Amino acid sequence: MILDRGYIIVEPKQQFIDWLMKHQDTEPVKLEEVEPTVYLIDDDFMDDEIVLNKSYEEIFMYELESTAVHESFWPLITIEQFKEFFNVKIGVSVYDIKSK
Amino acid sequence: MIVNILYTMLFFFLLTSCTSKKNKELKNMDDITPKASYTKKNSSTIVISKDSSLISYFSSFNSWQIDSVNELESKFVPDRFSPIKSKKLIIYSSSDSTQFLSWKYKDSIDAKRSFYNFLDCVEKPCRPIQLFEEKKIASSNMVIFKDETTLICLKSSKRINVKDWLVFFNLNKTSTGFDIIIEQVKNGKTKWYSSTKEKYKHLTK
Repeated sequence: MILDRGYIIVEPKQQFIDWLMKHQDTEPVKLEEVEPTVYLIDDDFMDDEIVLNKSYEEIFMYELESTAVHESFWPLITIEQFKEFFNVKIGVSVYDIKSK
Repeated sequence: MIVNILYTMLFFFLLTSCTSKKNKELKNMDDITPKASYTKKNSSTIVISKDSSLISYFSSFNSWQIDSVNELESKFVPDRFSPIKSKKLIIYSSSDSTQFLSWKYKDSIDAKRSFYNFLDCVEKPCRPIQLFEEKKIASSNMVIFKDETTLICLKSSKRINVKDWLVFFNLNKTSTGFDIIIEQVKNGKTKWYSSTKEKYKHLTK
């Protein structure tokens, strides 16, 4: 079943793992063990940059809140910082193969 | 003459066909273009019921703003070891959701068997772990609590506050202490602890 959603796949980069290593009380995994996260978004968009600018703050907060790093060590939530920490892929082909 | 009559007939024929008042049905593009059949509100197939008494059960702990609690029908490894009681829920708050899974066994032998088998496969893909080993075993934030006869597993997209949950379990008389607590943050490795009413201790090999 096709879903009327777009997606943003967010994959941590080595810079993010290094930052975790510096501030987290638990040892982070290696880059090859890191799993990307898929965020579903509205599919009514044409330009990736516009979508990213609209969504990155919320996604960045999610990613930071899921870490064990205390809020006082969080970086500034900017698009530049976001791009330094994560690779992103944006698209609109979302199919739910479990829902018939 | 005949040609004139034919032209006249043709003229009237064309005139009447162009001025027909027959109501043509207009097609709306929205009706004929393909649409996605996805309904955002009903996307989950595993949530089977809502129970308001469960909301008050979890809301008894002040700082939690619970919106709703839904029951899960999924099966997990600890379900195979004949628990005498189990609770499998998703707790929704305004900004997050937490999966709450708990199993109660008749004795410590069943609880141990269940726990060690659970360590072989907490979630797919299975990433078996030895006692006190530090490695990634789940994709999201996760905490497993084990006492004499109870096994509890929490999963959330945000970091789980273990100490808050210990207070909750104490208040609800679920357990006053756990011989093993495994905490794993997203993109982190497992850490092992134990707890009593007074102490929270880090466990290592």
